[in-house]
This record gives sequence, structure tokens and C-alpha cells, in this order.
Amino acid sequence: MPRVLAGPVPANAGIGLRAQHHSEILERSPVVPWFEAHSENYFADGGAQIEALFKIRSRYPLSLHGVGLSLGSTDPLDTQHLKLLRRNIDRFQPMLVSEHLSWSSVGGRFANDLLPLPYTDEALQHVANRIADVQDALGRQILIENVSSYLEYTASQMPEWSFLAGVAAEAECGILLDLNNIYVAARNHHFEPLDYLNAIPVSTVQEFHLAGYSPIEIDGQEILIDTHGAPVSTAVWELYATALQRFGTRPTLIEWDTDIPELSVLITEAHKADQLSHQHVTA
Amino acid sequence: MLQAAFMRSLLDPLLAAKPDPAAPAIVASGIAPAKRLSIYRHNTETNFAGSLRLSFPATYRLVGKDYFRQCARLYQHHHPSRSGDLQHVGEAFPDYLAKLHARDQYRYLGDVARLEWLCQQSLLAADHGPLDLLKLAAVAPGNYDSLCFIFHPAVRLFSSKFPCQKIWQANAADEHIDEHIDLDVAISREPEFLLIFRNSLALPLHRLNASEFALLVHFQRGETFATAVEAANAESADFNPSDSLRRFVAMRVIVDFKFLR
Repeated sequence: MPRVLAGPVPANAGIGLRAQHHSEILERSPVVPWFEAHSENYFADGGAQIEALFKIRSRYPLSLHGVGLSLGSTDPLDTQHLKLLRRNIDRFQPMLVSEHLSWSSVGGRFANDLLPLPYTDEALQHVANRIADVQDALGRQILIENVSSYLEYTASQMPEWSFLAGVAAEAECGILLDLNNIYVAARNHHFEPLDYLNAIPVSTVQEFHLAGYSPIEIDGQEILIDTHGAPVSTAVWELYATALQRFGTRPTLIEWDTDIPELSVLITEAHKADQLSHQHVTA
Repeated sequence: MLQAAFMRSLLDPLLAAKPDPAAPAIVASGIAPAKRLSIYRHNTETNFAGSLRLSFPATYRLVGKDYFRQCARLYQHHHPSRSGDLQHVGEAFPDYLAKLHARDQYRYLGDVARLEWLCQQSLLAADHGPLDLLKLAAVAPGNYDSLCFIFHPAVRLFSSKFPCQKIWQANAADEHIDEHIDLDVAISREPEFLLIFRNSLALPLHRLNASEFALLVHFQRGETFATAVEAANAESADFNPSDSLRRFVAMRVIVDFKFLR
């Protein structure tokens, strides 16, 4: 087993790891507190990408973030997917492992997108049981992340924040709070982001995500799309400052997955997040 | 029920009944439910096509953005993703393209895509150390004929009647070469045999002659050294088995062996 850097993910701002930055990271060893990799991007048996992640892991703390487990699906859990995730946990020894509170497959067919769940008691129990099964299979706690959404179901019985808090309590998992996703959902579905933050128990939150969105217009109405392809917006920076007051500092990730910029742009965004959390600590 | 209707709305837009099967489950406020669903359909198609483009960059350049997107959409309709890992979605794409263009001027497209898929498989395959030469040296000459050689997991073999290597190189992302390739002339020559095998830095394609290709195909099927040499000899009278063996061991194509029981 190759060497890994020991210790927890620091409560500073890390960066989403993308393959196009591998060689720059390995050549320059930039000062970045930690990296978060998409679990599925490293499902391969071997090869250059796997070797690069081993090397990066020997120098930096790591979090593994999944997009494909389809936690909320009514299909049985994909045991092959779980096996590959377990293998990545064993070989890369991440400090944090996270997935999304969403579904993406049914009848064996995958949309490979983060689809929203109806916020019902039945769905809450179902997804909580599945998360508990995943935690048993992986032998560790995972964090679940709230997603952006562009629709609401008529069947929903509770607001998203009650659903998220309820699932975390029932499954005994942690929460990865994505502040951009809260902001996008709040604008799209007309609620107060503060109501969301206030409903989430402080001790469950173990990580924050920050990202950029893009507005589009449909039927003369603006709707925000979670593109992960733009800088963090002013409003989301403000929400981050509010979240720091409620939850304290946590490992925070700058996510940027489409139209990926130079590494230096991501490092600058991460510094901005660190400045805000530093202000919070010294205030 | 809700998930099934939602998935039909996303993946079966060509079949789905109007109105949208998932629309009744969605709150109608400001933006119509069908249009809200179309945001997710767009994401689903974009993610699928994007992954396909990553697996088939030369095919993408050959057919152009618009046709590739159209093709990806139809292909997704027939072969939707079956995994939470998008890396797998291209598996049936080469055959799909080959059938689609079986009788037109793009009949090489399926083979070029197959070459690209094998390249991706090579890049993702497991690592393996070199052959233990002392172990091979210890084999008694009387047992040579029943040796079965085992390849590095990243070895792939490819053959085509089309000049796929040239087409692939001319359309590789970073070196666009404007060269006229005469398909009829190329097809009249001997088929193209390639050994695809990544090393730590790159993904070289090695040209093979018919004998070498026959030898490796038989090794890959788990057949014995004797059977493989016989097949290679049938392709060319001046085939030298020990030279070939040395070459493939040195290249680390052959990494282990066992005996036929």
C-alpha cells in the first residue's frame, strides 16, 4: 500500500481535483489544503490517472465525492458500484466520503444526473435505509449533500431542509452542505435560505461546498442552473458567511466541473473562502 | 411509479406519450412541468454525449459536433447508460456506428470508433509487473509446446480492412493533419493489424504483420505456444517464433505463463 498523508481534512478551502490539473499539481506541489476527487473518475483498475491520484494522495488530504450511487433510487443498490467505491476507499484512504441526496436510475437505466426526491415520509425512510446499508458496506460514515433542483413534486409533504435533517438523523450520516445548491433551490422555489440553514443541526455538518451557477430564462421566468462552471456568486459568498456564523468553520470545497479554468483561478477562489472563515474566527 | 415516469420522460422522448408522463407529479408554478423536466433531459443528454465525446475524440472530429450530438442522442435512446459510472456508455457505440453506416461512405467509422474504445480500455486497465524471466528459463524444453502465455491487462489487439491508424492520427485532438486518404487504395492492401498497449507516458499503436497478429490472437484466446506458432506460420513462411516471443516479452506484452492441463 503506497504512503498516504495522515490526519483529518483541515477546516480550510480545498479544490475539486480534475485530471487536467494532475501534472501541474505533481510538478509544482501548490499550497492547497486538500483535494476532493469524484469517486467514479478513479474507478479504473490501473493506469496513469490512478497512479496520479496515488501520488497526489501521498502529499495532500483527500475527500472522495460520489455522483453515481443513486442513493434515492427504488432499484436495489448497485453492488458492483459499491465494490468499486470500497476499493477506492481502501486504496486512497480518504478522510471524507460523500454522495448526493438524490436519485439517478430506475429499471437499470441511468440518467447520470442528480434528480430530486419527493420529500415524503416514505422517501425519507427509504433513502435513510439505503444510506445505512451503504455505510455498513463501506464500514464508515458518509456525508450526504443537498442538490440543486429545478422542480418540486406535488407529493412532497415537507420542505427540503426537514427532509435532509430527517435523513441524516435516521441514517446517522453526516451532511455536506452545498451553499450554492441551497441558494439555487431557494431562488427557484422561493424560500429563505436562512430557514434552510437554521433547520440543519450544527453537529451534522462536516463539509461545505461552494460553486457557481448560471441563470437561464424559460417562459419569461428566470431559473438558476447549477452548472459548476462559474465563479462563486456574491450572494453565495454572503450565504457562506452566514453559514460560518451558525456552523463554525468546516472543510470547504471550491467546485468547478465544466469549462474548467487554470488551477490558479481555483486557488484564488479558495483563498477568498479562507479569508471569510478567518474573519469569522477572529471576529 | 414516479421514478419510472420521470425516467421515461428523460430517456424515451422519442417514444413518450404527450403530455409528458412525469408532468402530473410536478408542481405547476410559473414554468410548465414539461419544461422543468426538459432541463433534466438536457442535462442527461449533455452528460451522456460529453462522456461519449471523451471516449471517441477522433470519431467526434470526423463527423463534426452536430452530427455527433444527433448520433449520441439516438444511441442513448437505444443503449441508455446502465451504470452510475459514465465511462461505460461507449461500449456498444462502435457496433452502433458500424451498422448505421454499413453501406455508405462512412463505413470505416465503426472501426475507427472500435480502435478508440480499445485505446480507452488499454488506458484504464490494471497495472502488472514484467515477466519473471528466471521462471521462464526454468521451463524444460520438452514443455515449451504446452506453454500458454498471459498478456499484460492493458494489451488490446485490433484489425481492420480500413487504414484506421492513419484516420485516427489525422483526427487526434492535438495534431490535425490535412491528408487525403484514398479508402479504395487502402482497402486493396493487406488488412491493418495493430497492437494497442499503453505505457506510463503514452498510448503507442504498434503495427503487426499477419503472422504476429495470428500469434497474439491465439495467445489471447489462451491457446498453446504450439498452436499459436502453427497459426502464425500459416500466414508467412519466414515467420520466426523465437524472435517474436523475445520482442513481446521485451515489450512487456507477455507478463506471465501457465501450462495447458
